[in-house]
Amino acid sequence: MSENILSTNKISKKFGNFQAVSDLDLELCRGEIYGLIGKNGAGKTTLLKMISGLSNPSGGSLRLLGETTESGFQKARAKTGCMIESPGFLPYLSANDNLEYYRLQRGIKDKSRVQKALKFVGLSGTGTKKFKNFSLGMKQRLGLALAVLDDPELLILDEPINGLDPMGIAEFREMILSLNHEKGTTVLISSHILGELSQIATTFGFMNDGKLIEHISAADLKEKCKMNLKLTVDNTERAAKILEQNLSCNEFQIENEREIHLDAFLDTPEIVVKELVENDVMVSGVERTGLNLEEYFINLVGGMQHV
Amino acid sequence: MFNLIKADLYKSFHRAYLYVIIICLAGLAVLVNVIVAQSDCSVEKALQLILELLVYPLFLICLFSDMTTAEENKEHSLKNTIAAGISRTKVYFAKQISTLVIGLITGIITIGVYMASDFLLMHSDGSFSQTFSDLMPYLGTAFLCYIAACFLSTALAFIVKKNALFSISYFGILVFPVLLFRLLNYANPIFLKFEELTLFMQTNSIITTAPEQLINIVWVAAIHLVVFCFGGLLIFHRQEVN
Repeated sequence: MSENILSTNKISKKFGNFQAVSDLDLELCRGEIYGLIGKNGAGKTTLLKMISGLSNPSGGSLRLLGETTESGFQKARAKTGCMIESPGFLPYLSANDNLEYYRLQRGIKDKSRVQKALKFVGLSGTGTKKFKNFSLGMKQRLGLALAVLDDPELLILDEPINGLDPMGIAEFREMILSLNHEKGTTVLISSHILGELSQIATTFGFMNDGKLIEHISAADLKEKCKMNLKLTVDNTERAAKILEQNLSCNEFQIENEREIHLDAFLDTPEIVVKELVENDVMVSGVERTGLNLEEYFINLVGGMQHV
Repeated sequence: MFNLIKADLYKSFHRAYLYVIIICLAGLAVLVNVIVAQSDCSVEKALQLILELLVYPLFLICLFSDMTTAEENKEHSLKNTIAAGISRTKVYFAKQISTLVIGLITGIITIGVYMASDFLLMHSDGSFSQTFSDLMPYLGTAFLCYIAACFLSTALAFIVKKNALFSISYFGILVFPVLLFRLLNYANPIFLKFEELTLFMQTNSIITTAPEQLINIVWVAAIHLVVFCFGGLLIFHRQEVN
């Protein structure tokens, strides 16, 4: 079993009368890429802020890299890289000078770390260009460069691809995957761009109204969302027998009296229909169904009105 | 803590802002001496002129807090420091010390230029050592008042995110109580005592205070310092960093 790197126990945050995060339990294992999904105001950023020490929880507890005390959290956070909300840097300094400032601040002895981090995110050629003159994509990259400056064990990224163009998004994805695969960095990432998260995350956590409503592995989610053939027939028992005997197919589930979900013959539904009709099963509907991550999330939080 | 201060000095000396302030203040110092030199003034008399100007640095201190702290708050870069696991107490005191160090460097350069231009433009009447040693208790007392103001300014820089509001708050806390107590004095003369206890009035009164009574100002400044310092720390600890 892989080591638990982060866990929250009934962590909560209240702003006045507004409960931003409510009794939330989250577990993150070493090596995972954990995709945190939720609509605006679901409490994702507040949760990430509490984990990274920017906000004090109103209740509950936290275990970060095995540490549970305030002084322990400080040690653990030194091994954590963060990019929460928009990247904030000193506008009058260049990318190099900004990172050098944080290198000095964190007491990182190896001066080459700055150049390595800039090279990793593709900003090594920005020279003396000041941060205030950077594009949004460059700012996001510098945010990631700071997050990886000291080879973190855990990377916390809050909406890191907001505002990036498709090329930038693809490059960002590659960077995160390379950190995870090559250095074993555990990643906790929140995003609205669910298609992107679905390409990198190994585990998903769905948040709604400050609560974690589902925690699911990518494999289980894939299983739940996979495409299938929905057959509407007059006799499901007979249809099932024909599928087994005539088409040697066991990959189906009888959903109700009139509906069978078939995981095979997705590209050749006519073969199934022909076989059923020829054997006196009336087929009144054939439909390819399945969910993508977005649809799954929408179903989970209760429909489009929530998105 | 040392790393944080080192980083703050790196940041401050990597921009034009600090150099512009130093050049402006040094230029003003020279200008004062150029004007004073027209009246056949001695080095020592010009040196005593410093006492007349002791209250003005109070208005400049927020520039240094802005440089080290307020700007980071405004640009949302403070979160990078806190999220790296550096304790808020360390960050708070490091910023306070960095502000003091930058203010001190600027002060030393300005006074240095003032004295150098003094000697270049005027003649000495031979009592320089005596005048300088007479001046020291006043400068020391004023310096403590500046430290108290610096703690107030940097504490506000942590708490108030908007730059304009930060400056207004600083000047408000520094000057508003004076005006308030002066007004309340019409209702009850006891408020005049309170007015005298404000940091602004204490700094203003240094010039008219006998050396042996400077200790009273030192005490008032020290109380202000402690209140501003720990008040700010308490609020910063509870604050959400964005």
